[in-house]
Amino acid sequence: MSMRLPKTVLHNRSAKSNYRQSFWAFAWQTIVKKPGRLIGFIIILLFTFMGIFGPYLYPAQLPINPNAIYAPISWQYPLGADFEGTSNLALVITGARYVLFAAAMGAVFTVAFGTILGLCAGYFIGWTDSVIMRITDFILTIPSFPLLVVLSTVWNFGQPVAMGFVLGITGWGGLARAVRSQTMSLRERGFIEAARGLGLSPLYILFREILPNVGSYIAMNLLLSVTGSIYAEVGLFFLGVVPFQVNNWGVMLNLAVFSAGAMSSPQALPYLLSPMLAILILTLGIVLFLDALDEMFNPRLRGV
Amino acid sequence: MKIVMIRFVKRLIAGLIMILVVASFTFLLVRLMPGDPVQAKYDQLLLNGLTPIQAMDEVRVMYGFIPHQPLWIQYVHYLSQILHLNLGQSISYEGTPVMRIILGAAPWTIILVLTGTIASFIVGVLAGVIAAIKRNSLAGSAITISGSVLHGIPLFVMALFLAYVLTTIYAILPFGAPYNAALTPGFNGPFLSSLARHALLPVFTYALSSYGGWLLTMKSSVISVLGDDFILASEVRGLKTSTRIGYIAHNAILPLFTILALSIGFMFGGSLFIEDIFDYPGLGNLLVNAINSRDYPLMSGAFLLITVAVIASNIITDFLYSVVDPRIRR
Amino acid sequence: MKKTALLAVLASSGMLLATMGPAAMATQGAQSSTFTTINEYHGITVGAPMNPFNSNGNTFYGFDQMQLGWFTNSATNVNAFIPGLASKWQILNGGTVVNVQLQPGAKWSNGKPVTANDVVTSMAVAFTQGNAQAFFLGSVRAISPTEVQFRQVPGQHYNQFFNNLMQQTIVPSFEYGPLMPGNIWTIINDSQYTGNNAAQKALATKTQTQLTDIGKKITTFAPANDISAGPFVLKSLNPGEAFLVKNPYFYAASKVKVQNVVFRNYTGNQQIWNYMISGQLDQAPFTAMPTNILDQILRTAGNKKVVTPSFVAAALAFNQGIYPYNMLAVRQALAHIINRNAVQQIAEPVVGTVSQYSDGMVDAATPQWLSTAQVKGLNPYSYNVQLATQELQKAGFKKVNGQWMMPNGKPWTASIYTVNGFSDWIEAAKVISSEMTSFGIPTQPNIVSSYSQYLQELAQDKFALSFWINALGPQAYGTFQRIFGPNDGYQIVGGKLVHYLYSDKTKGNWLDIPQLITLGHGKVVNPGQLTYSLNSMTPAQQQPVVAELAAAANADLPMITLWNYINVQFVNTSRFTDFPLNNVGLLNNPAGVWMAQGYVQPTS
Repeated sequence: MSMRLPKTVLHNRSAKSNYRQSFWAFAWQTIVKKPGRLIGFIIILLFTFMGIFGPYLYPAQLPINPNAIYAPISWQYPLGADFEGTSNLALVITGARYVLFAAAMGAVFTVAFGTILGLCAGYFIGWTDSVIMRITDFILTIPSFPLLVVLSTVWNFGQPVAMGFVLGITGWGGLARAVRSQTMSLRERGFIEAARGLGLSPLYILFREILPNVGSYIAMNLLLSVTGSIYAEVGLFFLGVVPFQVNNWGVMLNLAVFSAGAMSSPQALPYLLSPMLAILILTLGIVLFLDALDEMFNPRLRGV
Repeated sequence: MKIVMIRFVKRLIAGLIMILVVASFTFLLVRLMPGDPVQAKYDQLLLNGLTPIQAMDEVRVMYGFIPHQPLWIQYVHYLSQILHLNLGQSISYEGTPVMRIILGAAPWTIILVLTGTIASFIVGVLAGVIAAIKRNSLAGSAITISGSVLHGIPLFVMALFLAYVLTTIYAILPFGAPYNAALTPGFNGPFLSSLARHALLPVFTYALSSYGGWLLTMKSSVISVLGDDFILASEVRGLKTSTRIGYIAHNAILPLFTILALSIGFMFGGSLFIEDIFDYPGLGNLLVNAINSRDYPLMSGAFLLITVAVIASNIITDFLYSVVDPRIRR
Repeated sequence: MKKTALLAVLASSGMLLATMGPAAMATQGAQSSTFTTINEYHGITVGAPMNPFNSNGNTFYGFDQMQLGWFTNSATNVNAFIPGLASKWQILNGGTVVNVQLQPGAKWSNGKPVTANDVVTSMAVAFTQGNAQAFFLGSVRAISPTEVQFRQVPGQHYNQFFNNLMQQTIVPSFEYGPLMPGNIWTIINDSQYTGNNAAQKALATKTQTQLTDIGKKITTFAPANDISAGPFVLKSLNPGEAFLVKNPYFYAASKVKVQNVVFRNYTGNQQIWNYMISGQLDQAPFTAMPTNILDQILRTAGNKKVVTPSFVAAALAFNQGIYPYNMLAVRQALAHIINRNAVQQIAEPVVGTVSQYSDGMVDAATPQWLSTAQVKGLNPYSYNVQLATQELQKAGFKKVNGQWMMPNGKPWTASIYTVNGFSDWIEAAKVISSEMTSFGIPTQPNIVSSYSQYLQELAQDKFALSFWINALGPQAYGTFQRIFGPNDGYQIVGGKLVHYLYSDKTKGNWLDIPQLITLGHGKVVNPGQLTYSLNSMTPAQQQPVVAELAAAANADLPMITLWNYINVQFVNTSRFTDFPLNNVGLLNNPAGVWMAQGYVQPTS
């Protein structure tokens, strides 16, 4: 990994605005440096667009066609057709919204819970810390996917926000632990001690002084949580333990395997492969882009 | 050694408290659940050809018990029953104790999880060492990429793919049973080979799904150990390469033990997909089926047992860790 | 050809991987004379007892679980049976007395003879399970060691008395007798009291509880070994399969040419499809499947499709307590909007046929009960969007900007409910949603994750439009009680018909069909009472009642019948031949019964 980096990047609070500006330029430079990162970035952008605008590209009720049941791949059906002759491509594109929105919500909740609890535990230490850490241990120990499956029986996951919330509740443990240890080492640093000496409120110190310094770590986790959330929610739909009404990738997998017999019949295979392909491409995009994030945020790699 | 024991006992107590919390949680959950298994059974009996009157009478015999006690009495009763290892009666497997069903399923999951974890740990760690040492060569990068890709693919996508290729297109491996029922279980060749053949596919999927994680962690751990002073010193002193790699590996592997504990929870979670897709009769399969038939006692029992298994393996891993790592023994 | 060769190479290398053993080579079905199938009713549960009264018990109907005779599934003759443990029978006194002679030489798999006493004990067990009360069994008595006499409760004329008693499971007295107290028949007789004497009534209540308790004990009884009077006996099982061997003591053992039977476990249809596609099953009972799977199955060497009539249909049911489905015009208009041909083509192309008349019966039964003129009187509700538009406009609906507004001024939207795993229903729900949406009623399919939750929410009136199984035959009563039965508030309490109103949320009335329905020619009928009355009628007496019920179901349209199921089974002729393909009555019974009749031979 090359270490040639612009010398202008400074981790200096006095040059904050300057740093902001150059950060975006630096980020862009980091992305375009390797073609892989750029591809990853483009893939992520593409899927984001799909999630936002996908449903507007098609009528609310996708057309069915009894003469095109499991139609093979063609210009009209670029990814083949499903059991009622609906284009698989249309299903993947319109199905992206629920999956991506719920995953984004899941990541936001994961990061919010993990960061706040980690910051509090690391900063206040003592009694607060041990309570929060016991809860964290608990969350980390309970196998989260079985827990999700069990929770799905009492919780209505119809709304992506609800799905995201549950994903957040079960997934924040690791992040909280990491943020805590970083906060603990930060609170002994000079500038925090100084801030405390000045009598600034703990809230101010936590969110204005410490948070920006663990921000890089959190940004990386945000992206990782997105992938984690996608796997978990698509998995829930795939197993069929969650009631569903709208089309999404997990529903497609479920119907393809358990109703269409895609595992046994080559005709129905495109129906199974389409959502799998979408998941794999998105995964690839995120993996490739993480490399760029790593360099952007990891001071060690940046050589500063 | 005394410090190790104290640490162990502490972990044990924490584990017991955790089990109590999970048990209370499942108790509450079961009483919040929607769904009416009685009605479902009635409909199923009708479809099986019973007349409506017969079906209704049979359902009454089956479910002639509906608790009407206050919640906290039920709770105390529930906890005391758990202490006696009684998890109640299953609804969908009528009249069969939940404990018996779960104990019937548990060995299959444990076989999968254990062999899968060990296999992926060994292969992943070895590959990680190679990837770290040869990180500037083509082989090294290839290994690293294989790890990243396999680490990124969701478990169920991988399992579906393997099932499609190896049981449908090329029906090489059997699925749907843990062994051939015509054979006598025991320590004999035909039975063991049948067992191995049936377990091969799910274990392989398990191993493949967690291999990437081990590889990447081991690689970064080895790289950071390589920079440590004592390794540099040993190089200067001219120790044999094999000895040095031994040092490196020993020091690099320590952090992996903590991850091992977490990964076991992940593996038990993954068993839901693997067992469902390969129709392997373990706990994960049981949990999914119990949920789909709204068999609450079975569902909470299976969940409780999965949690207990994860907690127990965490404690064991922690114990091993403290035995292996000299810094804790101090 | 290429694929097979590659397969053989790969299979043998796979074999080398695992420690070599000749027995390991024997995958089920490849072994000579091992017949592989699945249990139609449930998968395999290792912890469950080998007890036929347990709902998940490891006994196999028709293989190691026996009864007096096997019903041929005739719609019009409820007494058409193939001999089982009974070799002969006489139906006397208008069906209230039945004499049964047991098969000479019938024995249990431990060598002990099957006697009249076993039958009497089995009937006592049937009382503890609530089954014997259901067909009004009054008394049962051993006339000789091989002959039993059954009598109906005095005053009853239940038309399925013989039919039901023949289908009771027969278990050995030496195993199940000790589970019941010595005075079991006194308890049974006391519990049957229906008079007005207070003391005897109290005794009846007490003994009924006692019976239920004994019943529960019996359902959980776990014998150490399987004891069978059938052609096979269970030898071993694991979570994936059950292994049965031929019972040498079976009364017709010489006719049985199959040595072993393997039942494979399954948790969903797609596994059964996989077994069939890989050619592993020698026989597979009815399984819903899409066309692509059917094609794939038939491509496998030896697989053959066998079709017999079935008495089940799928319908879209209305909750008439929910606006606007209380309006007849709305229900009829929806029937005109839904293109049942397209629905069947997509959802149930293989094991379904388009339903012609929504008259509560399967189409095959309609001409058997109704005259040509009566059939002509039924409204076929053919696909006609224009007619639907007219009907809705007449009822006060308006179409604004392509969307229908209800008479109360609100836009009309809908959800169609179905269950996860019921692939045909899900697909049909999606098709109907598309059709309704394009007609101007925005509709969504809504999939509930489990059947038990579905039924509960259905009963709680949460679904306006939902999928429902109807026309459950072959008997007329079973057919119509799916409409004018418990789900419409009609329940039988203490031998009397009671009607619960829709407003009573605890009694399961979610259909809310009007209690009185006016038929085409002006006659007003009470369908709930008519349905109940079918129970004590001969087929000739039932005919006019069935005609009226069919007309009522067609006129009021509480549910739109979408398709009739047809019973499609599969057999594989590469390992076994001589399946009873032309014997419809036998085909409807388990394969074990075929073997007991001398069918099914290994190919040599």
